[in-house]
Parts: sequence; structure tokens; C-alpha cells
Amino acid sequence: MREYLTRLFNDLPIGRKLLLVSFIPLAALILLSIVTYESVQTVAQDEEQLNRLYRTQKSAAQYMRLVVDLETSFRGYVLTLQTPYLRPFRSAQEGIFSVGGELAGMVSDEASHRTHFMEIQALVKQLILEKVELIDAAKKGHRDQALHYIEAGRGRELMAKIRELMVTFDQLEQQRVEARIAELSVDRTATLKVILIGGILALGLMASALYLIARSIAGPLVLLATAVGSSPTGSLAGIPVFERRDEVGYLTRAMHEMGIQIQRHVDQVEHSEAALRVLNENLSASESKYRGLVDNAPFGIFTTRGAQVTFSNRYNQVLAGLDPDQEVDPGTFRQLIHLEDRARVLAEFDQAVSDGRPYETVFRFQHKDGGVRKVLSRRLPITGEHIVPPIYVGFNVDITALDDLQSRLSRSERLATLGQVAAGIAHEIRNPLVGIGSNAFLLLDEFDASDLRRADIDIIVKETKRLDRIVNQIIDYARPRDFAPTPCVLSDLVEEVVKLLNSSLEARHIAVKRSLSPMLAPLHADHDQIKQVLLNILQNAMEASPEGGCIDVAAFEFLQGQKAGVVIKITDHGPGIPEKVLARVFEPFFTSGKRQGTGLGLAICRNIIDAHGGDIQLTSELGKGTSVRIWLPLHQEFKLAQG
Amino acid sequence: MQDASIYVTDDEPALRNALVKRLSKSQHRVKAFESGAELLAAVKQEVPDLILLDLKMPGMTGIEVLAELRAKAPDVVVILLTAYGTVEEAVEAMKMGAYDFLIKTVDLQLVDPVVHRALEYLDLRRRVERIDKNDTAH
Repeated sequence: MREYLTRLFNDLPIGRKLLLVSFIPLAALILLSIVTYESVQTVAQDEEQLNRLYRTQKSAAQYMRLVVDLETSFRGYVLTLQTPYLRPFRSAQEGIFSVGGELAGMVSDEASHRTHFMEIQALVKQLILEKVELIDAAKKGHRDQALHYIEAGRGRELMAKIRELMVTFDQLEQQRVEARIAELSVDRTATLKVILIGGILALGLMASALYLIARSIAGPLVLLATAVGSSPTGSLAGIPVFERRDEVGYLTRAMHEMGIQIQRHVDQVEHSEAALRVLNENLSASESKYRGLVDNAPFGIFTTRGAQVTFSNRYNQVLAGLDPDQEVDPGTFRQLIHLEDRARVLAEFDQAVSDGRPYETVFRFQHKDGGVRKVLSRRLPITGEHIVPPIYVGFNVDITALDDLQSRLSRSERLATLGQVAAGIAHEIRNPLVGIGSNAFLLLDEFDASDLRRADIDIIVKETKRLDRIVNQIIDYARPRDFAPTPCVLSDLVEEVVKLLNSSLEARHIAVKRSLSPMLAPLHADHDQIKQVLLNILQNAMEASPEGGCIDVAAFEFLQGQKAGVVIKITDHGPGIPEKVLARVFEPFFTSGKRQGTGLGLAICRNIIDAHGGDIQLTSELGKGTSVRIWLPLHQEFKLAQG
Repeated sequence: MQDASIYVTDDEPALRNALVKRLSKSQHRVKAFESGAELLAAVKQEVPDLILLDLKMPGMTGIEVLAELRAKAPDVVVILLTAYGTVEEAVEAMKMGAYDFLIKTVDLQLVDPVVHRALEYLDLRRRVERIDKNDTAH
């Protein structure tokens, strides 16, 4: 039953619930007011009656006094017979009648009272009637009867009787007053009780009604708040649902739905966060992977926005001659392009960028230390994205070594072909030459020393010898050499060569000034070949030097690119070589017009130095002399086959 | 040692003649051959003291001829004739038993000392052989 009621109450909408609940104390208040009004009414009646009682007592006292006045004025007249006494008598008489009438109306309906009062009235009436007769008689001269009456004390007797009756009456009235007062007091207490109890009752009802509402509305809300607030990270789907048809029930249902939805969203967010985390990890992993690839790629990788370089990998910086570990302003790259290539490359690339075409070229980077790197550069626009200016990704491949090898190869191929042809011719020439020479030589013995013809034969022998020497040199140039590098001490080599040329040097009074660094590491080179090179060059220097001149031979260690090596410099102070001639001195069979020689000396030198991976340069200043600079690596890394 | 028997083999007549003339002047018995085959045929008839053999010839090469000579006439002393720039081949041939090599030059200036040395060696060898023979005979 109680459950049913609770449920019924809970199902009510909050508005009606409030109405219903507030109706209870309202009704109690109305009831209380009625009861209170009733009680107050009773008290008022009691007071009214008390008032009447007091008025009755007062009237009774007046009545008694009037009776006494009547008696007194009667006696005055009778004794004096003076008429002025009649006037109070009359007024007392009238008073008695009127007060008597009043009093009669006021006396309570109680029988004992009423009979008592009737008795008094009858006695007073008798008293008055007796007096009026006596006065009338006295007026007519029959005063004796009146005197007699006084003397007999008849009046007094009646008075006493009346007084007695009045006292009793008074007492009765007094009793009634006291009863009334008691009643009034009881009624007052009752009224107070009604107000007090009713008030408390109404207050209690009000409180319990409010409590009921609070419990019905706030309770579930608190539960709800606890459910939501207790588990901020926990499941929001666990919000309880109250099976009620009021707003609270509706609210909890809505909140439950909302909780489930939020939970679903939260789950989704968590899920996508996890996915995002995995994605990020993958991304950073692949980023570092590709960064590693780009950083360690053995070719330059760079990007440009328009023609402006925006990124460059480590190797590209190496190619441009920059420190790979240093951050560089991408703009500096264009400044590092070789001056002869810069304007062309920049202009062509600008054109390619404005056309959105790929661009490929070969150019050189000029390093600060004088080194030059030749680069094959390919730049492709990133297609599919319409970005202005377009982004290019570029690759720079170092083709310095390749180019070098290629030029060497083509040169050595050229030389090999030349050498083969020359050698073929030389072999063919040699046999008849030896035939001529050997027979001419034999002929010499046929003539006396004084014979003039002998001199002619001598010329034949000498010229064939010279031809033979030339042929042998051609064969030397073309002959494949065995490359056998061993550690050589450069200063020893120089001494050996100087010793070989000593007689010629002394004959022309030419000094060889040697300034070789004492700390030179031994060279890894083919001893005989380097010796031949030094011999050739020193011989050239000697031939160029004026009599009494001097030749400077210097050597020091020198780092070319990344390679440790040695520079040997042989300088003469001869007339120098014109620029036109200088450009061709290494060509085989090119001679600068000197009588002796085949024009193969420097070509052979170049072949040998090339085979060692070094380089040889000639610089000359007219009137001052010529300087040959040879650079040789300290160590042999690879061997170049040479024909 | 004089009056040695020397066979000269070279396909080039000019040089061949020059060599023959020069060696003949030094009182040697010199025979000339154009090719290895001719030489080998002659050696079959008579083994000379010394053979000058050109390395590069049409037909049989000097090396091939040398190999045959080692088999047929192991005692003969062979000097190889070589052109400038082909010394490596001569060295190779010496490993096969040739005594020396001679670079063909215009003035033939090295011919006399090389031949002289070879003949001295031959003389020495023969003397030793003779002593050995005597030792075994006694």
C-alpha cells in the first residue's frame, strides 16, 4: 500500500507534486484558523456574559440604594410633612421601577434566581404600595397611620427582608460570575492549546511535505550527481535510470542516453587517439628512416621553391665545399657554383622553373681551397600540386672522378691508338734501319782514318743511330709498362737523377738547388718510372737553362682534396714557353722546335704520372722561366692499365 | 777462342749479312740461315759451337726453335737476337736455356763482347768436360 502510494506520488509531475504537497499544510492552516476562531468566539461570549453579570450586580446595588432612598425620603416626609421630600421619593420610585425592569431582563434564566428576584420584586412592590397609601393618607391628614407605621418598624422589617434577599441574590450572582470566570479561563487555555498544537501540526506537515518533495526530487538528482561525479574516467554509461514518469525519471533517462552516447564518443576518441598515436609513431619512424636515407645518401639531395634552395642534405653540402655538420643558408649554394657556370646554370634553371619543366645540367662547384667538383644535376618539379612557385626536388651526382676517369680514358685510348700506330711504324722502320746502320758501321772499317769518304759513312752511321734512338723512344712511349709501386724516398730519386746528368750539368755550369722538405714521407710509386719522369723534366730544364744558370727542385707534402700527397716543383730560369705552345706540350710528337728529341718526353711523363693517379702541370713566364709542378699521391689506391 | 763454328739465323738479310761479315772478321766459321727450319736442318748435319737466333721470325719463332734445339743439341750455346723494347721475351727465352741475348742496334757494338763471352764460356765448359772424362778414364 505504502509502496503503491510512493509510486503514485513519484509518478506525478513536479508541478502537481508541489501543488499536492503544499495543499496539505494549507488545509491544516485553514482548519486551524476555524478552530481558533471558534475558541475566540467562545471566549468573547464568556466575556459578554461576565459583563452582563457585572452589570446585573451593579443594577442590583443601584436597586438596593433606590430602595433605601425611598425609605429615607418616606421617613423624611412623614416626619416633616414637607413636600420637597416627596420629590426624591417619586424619583426613587420611578428609579426602582425602571431599574427593576432592567434587572428583570438581566437576571439569568436560572429558576432559583428568578424566583428569588420575583420574591424581592414582590416585597419591594409591597413596600412601595404601603408607602404610597401612607403618604396619600398623610396628605389627607392621617399622619398617624404613617407614624405608626414607622414606629412599628414595618418598613424596617421589609427593608431587612429585602436586604437579606438582595444579599442572597448577590451571592448567587457572585457565584455565577466566579463560574463564568473559571469558564473563561478554561476557554482561553483551550484556545491557546489549539493555536499552539495547530501551529506545530501545520509546521510539521509543512516540513514533512517539503521533505517529501526534496526526497522525491533532490534524492535522485544527488544519486545522479554521485554516479556522474564519482567516476570521471570511469564508465559514463552507468548512470542509473529511475523508473518514474515525472521529470526526474525523464531527466535520468535522458542523462542515461546522453551518458551512453558520451561514453561511445569517448571510446571513439580514445580509439582514434590510440590510432593517432600509432600513426604518429609510424610517421616518426618513417621520417627518421627517410631522413637517414637522405642524410646518408652518397649524392646530393636538395629541394627548391622556385629557384631558391630550401633544403640540402649533408652530401650536397660536401659537394658544394661546405661543412656537412653546419647549418647553412640555402642561398649560399648559388654563390658556390663555379664562376664560369653560374650565370648559365641560374638562367637556365630560372627558365625551366617558369616553364615548370625538369632541368638537367652539368656544372662545377668551386671550393674555397681551390678544389673543383663536377656535378651532374637533375631537378624535377613535384607534379600534382599546383604550388606557385613550384617545388623542385634535385639530385646532384658527383661526376668529378668519373669525368676525370673519362677524360683520362679517352686520352689514354687516344694515346694507345697513337702508340700502336707509332709502334707499328717503328718496328717496320727499325729492321731496315738496323740493316743500314750495321752495314754502314762495317763499311767504316773499310776506309782509312784519313779517307774523306769515311766521314760520309760516319754521318750515315750517326744519323741512323739518331733515327734508332727516336724509334726506340716511340716504342718506349707505346710499350705497356709494368706498374710496380714500391716505397721510394724522393730525395734519393732526385740525387740519382742529378748524378746521371752530372756531366752535362757540369759542362754547362748549371747548379741544381734542392730544397726538399726533410719531413717528406716515402712515396708509394714505381721507382724507375718516377726516375724517368724526373730525368726527362730535369733534362728539359737543363736544356732550357742558360749557361751558368740554376735549376730549383722543391718538394713538400700537400693535401689535394682529401688525399695526402707530395708536390715536386722543378723550375728553370730559361726563356720560358709561349702560351700557345704551353697548351700543347704534353701532346705526343709535339716539339718546341728543339733539335734533339722526339716530342715524346713530356707525353711519357704524363702517362706515368697519370698511371700513379697524380697530375702534372706546366707554368711558364716568358723571359723568367718555366716551372713543372707534379703532384703524386702518397699511396696508390688503384692501378690504371696503360697502353 | 777463335775459329768457332757459328750459325746466324735471321730473316732480315741486311742484318744477317752484317753479322756474318762482322763475325767472319773475327776469324770464325759463320753460316747464315733465313729461318728456324733451315737452321734445325743444318744442326742435324752438324752441331755448331754457337747459334745466334732471332726471336721474331716468320714461320717458327725463336722460342719454338730454341725448344727444339734443347732437345736435339743440348750442348749448343744460344744467343738470342732481340729488338729494342722486346727484352722481356728474351728474358723469358733465357729461362728456357739460352745463354745470353743481344739487342739489335745500329752499330752492333755489343756483338763482339757478347759473342766473345759466350765462346769463353764454351771453352771453359769443354775443358771441364775433358777433365771429367779423363777422371773417369783413369
